[in-house]
Amino acid sequence: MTDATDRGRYAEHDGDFAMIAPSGRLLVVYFGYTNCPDLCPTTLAYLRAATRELGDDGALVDLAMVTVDPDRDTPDVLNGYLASFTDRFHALHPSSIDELEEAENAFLASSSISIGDDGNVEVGHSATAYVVDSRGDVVVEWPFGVDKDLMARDLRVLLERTKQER
Amino acid sequence: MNPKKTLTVASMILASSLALGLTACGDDTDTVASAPPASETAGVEIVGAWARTSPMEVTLGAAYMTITSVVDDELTDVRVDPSIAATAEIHEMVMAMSSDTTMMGSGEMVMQEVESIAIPAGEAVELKPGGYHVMLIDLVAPLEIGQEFDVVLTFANAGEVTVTVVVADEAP
Repeated sequence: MTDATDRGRYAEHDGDFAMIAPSGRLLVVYFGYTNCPDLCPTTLAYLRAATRELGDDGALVDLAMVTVDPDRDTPDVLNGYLASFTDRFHALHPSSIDELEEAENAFLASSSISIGDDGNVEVGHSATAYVVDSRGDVVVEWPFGVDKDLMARDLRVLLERTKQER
Repeated sequence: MNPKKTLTVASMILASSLALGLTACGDDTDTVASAPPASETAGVEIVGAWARTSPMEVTLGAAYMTITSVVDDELTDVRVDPSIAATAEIHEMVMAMSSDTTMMGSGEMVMQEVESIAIPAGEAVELKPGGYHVMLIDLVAPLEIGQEFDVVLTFANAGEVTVTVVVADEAP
């Protein structure tokens, strides 16, 4: 997946991102878009709160967000948006619909963009967050509505195992 | 007809909403300035009104609250202080059911504008993430923690009710 991260802790990279956590860490993968006023900021704010609940261990959790609206979410917009939630983010900007769909299919995620009767861009997306471990396996799925306490509980359990990898 | 020259500050505040199509209210739009305080309007109680801090680069926001009415009522319109956002609309997140586009039918959520929200008597109707929200469109500036602003809600029975929305990172 095309990595467009240009700020935060992961600003230096080779331009391509594999959906896998480094050893000893967890990666939360989310497919969303910045013009999403409800689901995306709710989920990302819960994740922010959950990682804070974890204290120092919160720093073992990274976020990768793939925009499902790459035309409007320029790399600059996406980076600015994600920096509002964490400095441990990967801003993933698919270079083509094929690249987006390939990534979505790997997670059984989906999204669609259409133009409504009023001319507004309408985006649909599956709005699930995925926790990926260092083997590249999805170890937990968080459908929309999983709150910060549940996220923190899951992360705590997963990190116990993950930390043994280090 | 009032000549345009007589536009007062109060009617200027209405301008953005009028552009949105408040025509359903017809001649009643001038009642805004004389609307009684919320506590005296017919039977609607609104608690826990909040809006999420807006991330950088974002011009859309959402406000949430819980509405209870003593009689059957209906929320029909929302307006926001224009110093906060250009317009406001009532939106609902719904599960996309059919695959009339290229969707795989795997539970995509889509947002849609709704005409109104029914407020059945005695039932607390929540506007909350994943359900209904007041969408704030074209934010003038990012919403910051602790900030407060007014949203005017129009009810079929209770009329106009002004609620103060508090900006926070999460629900109060």
